Amino acid sequence: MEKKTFAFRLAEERGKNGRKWQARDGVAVAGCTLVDPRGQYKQGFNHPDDWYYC
Amino acid sequence: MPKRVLIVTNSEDLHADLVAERIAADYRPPFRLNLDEYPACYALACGFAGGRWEGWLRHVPADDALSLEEVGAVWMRKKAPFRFPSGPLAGQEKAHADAETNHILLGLLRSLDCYWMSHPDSLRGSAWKPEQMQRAARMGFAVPASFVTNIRSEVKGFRETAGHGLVFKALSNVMTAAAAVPPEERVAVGVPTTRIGEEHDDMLDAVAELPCFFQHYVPKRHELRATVIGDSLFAARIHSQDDPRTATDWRDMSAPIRYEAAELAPDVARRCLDFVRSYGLSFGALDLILTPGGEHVFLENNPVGQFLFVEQLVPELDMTGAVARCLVEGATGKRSAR
Repeated sequence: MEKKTFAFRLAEERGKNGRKWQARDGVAVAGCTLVDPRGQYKQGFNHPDDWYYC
Repeated sequence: MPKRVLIVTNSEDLHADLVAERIAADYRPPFRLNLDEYPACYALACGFAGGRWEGWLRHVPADDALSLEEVGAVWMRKKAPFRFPSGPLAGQEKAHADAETNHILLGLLRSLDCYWMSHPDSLRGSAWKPEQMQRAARMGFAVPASFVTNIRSEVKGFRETAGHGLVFKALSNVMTAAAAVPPEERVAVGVPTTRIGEEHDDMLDAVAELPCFFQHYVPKRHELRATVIGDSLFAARIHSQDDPRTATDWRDMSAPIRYEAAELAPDVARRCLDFVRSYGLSFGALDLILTPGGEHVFLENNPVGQFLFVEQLVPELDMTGAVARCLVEGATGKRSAR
């Protein structure tokens, strides 16, 4: 499906280039993110009321 | 009654694991409320009488109970969706359960008269980046020219005013809200701060869908992460320009760039501390740029920002210990409540 928003079009372009953030061995990540088993960033928890901020 | 530290977070929060160890070693074990296990794994019984709330919260698997009057300090860390005993709820019932659980929990927490890192009102009030920019400028920081619009021609016009080009930055969520939908519905897993040039003209029509945030790109000598904890400042120099992966957005941690302890000029350090305190926060992680000309440029403040990645790369910046000390001092009345 065609992406409608600018952010998602940028994300789509980034995906085509194969660029993903990766973690550094033994180092935690920055921001509201976690690391998946392949060492790539994934979204952390999302709260319905969004009452904590990164 | 000796007070305890309450940590509100989720079960995957490594920062909380390490700070809790330090608090336990130096004082007494904190009570941890993991929101992704709440209310499923917790028992709660609180009553309002005589003008105040009294009662307790018990983590059932550990049989660890915390009375409200025992709480001397609260560390508001990370979020998580609630978990209910019967499993995932759906539709309107889930919406109601989330809202009701949120209201009761936050309502009880807000009734606590104790030290906060940081109070929910301060967290909520400090999270809005457009307001942060204006406040930072008022306090003497240089702040990049910025623009929000849903008009394509305005983006191009703003780009013409930028000596070094533009960046696009998502203000709400760098991971494009991926966690808000089931994995099978995810169509994007994040967009970092991105330089926007003429090669993006074909997609600029998409700004019509919702207003977007653009900022003048600021040339960098290096970047700084300035973490305020209580009255202390821990600054790290991030050599983001040493690798193309981090030149625009340093959060790609796979690039082996250098991190070093930095000492900020006294006026810049003072400004960082004052900025965080101006919201009533007792913690803040500021992102700054040092330009080739030696100017400090404010990008944003993260009121519940991560600090462990900096400490792991610059061990002399003992922020884990500083957070633990602050919370213990708060719990024992050596720090003021807010």
